[in-house]
Amino acid sequence: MSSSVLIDRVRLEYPATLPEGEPLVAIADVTLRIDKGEFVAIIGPSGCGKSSLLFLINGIAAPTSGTVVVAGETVSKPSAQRALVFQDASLLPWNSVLKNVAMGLQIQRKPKHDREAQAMGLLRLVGLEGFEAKLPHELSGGMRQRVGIARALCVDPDVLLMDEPFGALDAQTRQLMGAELLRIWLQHRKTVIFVTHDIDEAVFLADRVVVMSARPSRVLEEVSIALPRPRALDIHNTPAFREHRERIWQLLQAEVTATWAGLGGT
Amino acid sequence: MGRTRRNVATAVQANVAVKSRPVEIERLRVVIGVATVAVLLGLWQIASMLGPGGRLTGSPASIVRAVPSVVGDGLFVDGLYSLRALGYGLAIAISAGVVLGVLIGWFKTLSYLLEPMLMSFYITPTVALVPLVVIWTGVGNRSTAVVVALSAIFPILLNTIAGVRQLDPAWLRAVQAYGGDRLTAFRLIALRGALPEIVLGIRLGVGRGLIGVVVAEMYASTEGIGSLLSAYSHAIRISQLFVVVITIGLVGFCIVQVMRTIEERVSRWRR
Amino acid sequence: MAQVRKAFRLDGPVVLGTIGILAILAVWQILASLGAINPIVASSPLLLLDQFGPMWASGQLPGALAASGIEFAVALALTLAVGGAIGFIMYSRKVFEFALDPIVWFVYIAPIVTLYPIFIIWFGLGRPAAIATGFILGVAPVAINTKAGLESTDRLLVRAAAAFGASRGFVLRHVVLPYSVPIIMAGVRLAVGRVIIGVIVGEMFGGNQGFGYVIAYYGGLLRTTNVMVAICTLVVAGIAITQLVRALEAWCSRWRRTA
Repeated sequence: MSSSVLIDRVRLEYPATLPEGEPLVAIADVTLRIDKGEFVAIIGPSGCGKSSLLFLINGIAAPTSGTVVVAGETVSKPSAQRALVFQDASLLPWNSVLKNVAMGLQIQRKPKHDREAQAMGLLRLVGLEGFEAKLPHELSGGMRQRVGIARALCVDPDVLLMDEPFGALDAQTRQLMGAELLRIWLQHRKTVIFVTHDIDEAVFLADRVVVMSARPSRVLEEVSIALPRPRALDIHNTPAFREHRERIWQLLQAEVTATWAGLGGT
Repeated sequence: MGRTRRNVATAVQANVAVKSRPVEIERLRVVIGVATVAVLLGLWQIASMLGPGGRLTGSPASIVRAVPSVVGDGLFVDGLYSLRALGYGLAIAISAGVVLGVLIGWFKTLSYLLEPMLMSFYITPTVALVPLVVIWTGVGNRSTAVVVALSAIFPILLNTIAGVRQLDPAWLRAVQAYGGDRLTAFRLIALRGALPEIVLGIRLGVGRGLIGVVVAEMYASTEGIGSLLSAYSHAIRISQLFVVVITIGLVGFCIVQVMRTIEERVSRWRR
Repeated sequence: MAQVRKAFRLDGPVVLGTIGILAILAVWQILASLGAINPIVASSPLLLLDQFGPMWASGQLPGALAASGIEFAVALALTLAVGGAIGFIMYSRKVFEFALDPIVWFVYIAPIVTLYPIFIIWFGLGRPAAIATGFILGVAPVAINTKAGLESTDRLLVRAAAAFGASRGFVLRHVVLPYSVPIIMAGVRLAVGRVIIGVIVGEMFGGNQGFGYVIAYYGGLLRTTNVMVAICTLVVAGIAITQLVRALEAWCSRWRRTA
């Protein structure tokens, strides 16, 4: 069974805030196809609905029209098979790191011994061995994100959905975490959809970068990243990298300035 | 003009300077606190020995001397009797309060329906309800337990509701994203997330329950700490009265300290 | 003015809340009328309405209101005066704060009601003891909040005033005091509830007037309905006072953007 993701003419509207107003169109018309094992980055100006796209794929949000099909099944409710990694990790603060990683399995009612053993394995994978008894508030932001990633991987999902997971980290940590993520990814080669607003991050991580327009959003262009794997951090300085970055920057620049104009020339 | 300006400035600076030597300040605080209490006790003792109304005011010395007679009159027996009522009442208050509180906090419609009523009960001084309770459950331990339950349930209820209300929606979203239905989210998050507030509510409830015991027993009981207070009051035995009061205070203090430690352990994850 | 209008808007919570109360009252009345619960013991809304008129007309309720009201007023006045003074003293010098802090906190947290029998002996049965109990119960929150309120003044504002050559008294009156009023008012609101409890306790156990006395009197006669009428009147009076204090609190906190 292929674990490709098909987003078919999806539209997302929010009801109007004022009775006489227009509904807010977050996503106008998006069609995307992602193949199994692909690492796809989605980039776009703020507020263009890229996070909402992830929520639609997970199932926690429903499209106004259009469908999302994952692994041959239409998405109708949230599922751990399309595991989300949140921007702020969203760990349960009273649970230990180990319990947090095992949360997905706990929801699936797997027996405690099994799920904690599996969780331990993933903690080793993300490099947090020794921290299993700690509480989230005792960890740094980067470590908390690693727990979030471990939690997502623990349920062995078809698709890994990552919503700007490194957004709250400082620039250096962000780059290091990106390299870490690739190292972990290479072990399992899961299908990953990674939302970010950082062009360098998108180019460094992805096989393909999907550039979204401003709201109401659609796909502007899909840029294939022709860089070899495995990628080390010094790839940032190669000409090929810079070319890709330039291309995407040109696309985005127009969109971002359009957003500013929409705000009344702020 | 320059002098007054300097005065204000130095006062501000002095406060700032004092704040910057924490350990010494803490020690000073304890020393002065203890010293003041000691001085006041001393003054009390002297006043009782000098003035003519010594028997009426009591004194630290006479209180200490009265301890054996109070014990003999049944301090521990009555104390245990009251503690039993306190225990029963608190058990009811905690179970009902937490369950109701979680439900009301979680389900908005329920809270809209029930909260105005609860607030009006909350405002009623539980003292005033004692005669009503006695009419309904008669004199004795049962009515005391009911009064305790009524006094203690409100802090528990209100704090539980507040605790459930301030649950971070991000936690809910995380459980939902991993396939958990509302019931699972409730099971995994509601109680654990609100536990610090619940324990705080229980601590406040214990304090109120203690007052409930005393008032209920003073009003209509022949046994228990409250009735002991009543008896000594009628017999104008001040020193004995103080012994009982201090005992109640100490017991209350111990219970609250235990609750405080539990609260701290439960709140560890709150940064 | 806009605030008041919003409070009376008819929307979900208000409607449901009213339904909730009316439903409970209806169930109560039905059970009593059917005889499922003994109306002599449990009373019923109709019986309450029935008894309210006579109790009011006979002067019982107004008298209780007046008596308790006076005791409450005196106790509150003492509480505010003494509590405010203690709070200010604790604020003025750190030494006083260290000395008085344990005592004030002890009075706040300890079950002061248990001292009531001692107050009877010291101050006299009835009115004096009631006022004393109310005062002692209320004084601690006022003191604590006065000190906290005075302390909460932004240090920078004080320094700014000093830089302009203001005397200590001036700074106190025109900067610190206005800044601290909201917190002090919150303490007063807390104290009001506690003073009411203290006064009622005093009246119940040896007074011969006031709400506490009326409640205990009918309680002894097992007259549920009369007890409930007295309690309800007391609660309404209490709510009225608390709302007044809240309104005062809100008015004083006008300049504070946060609630």
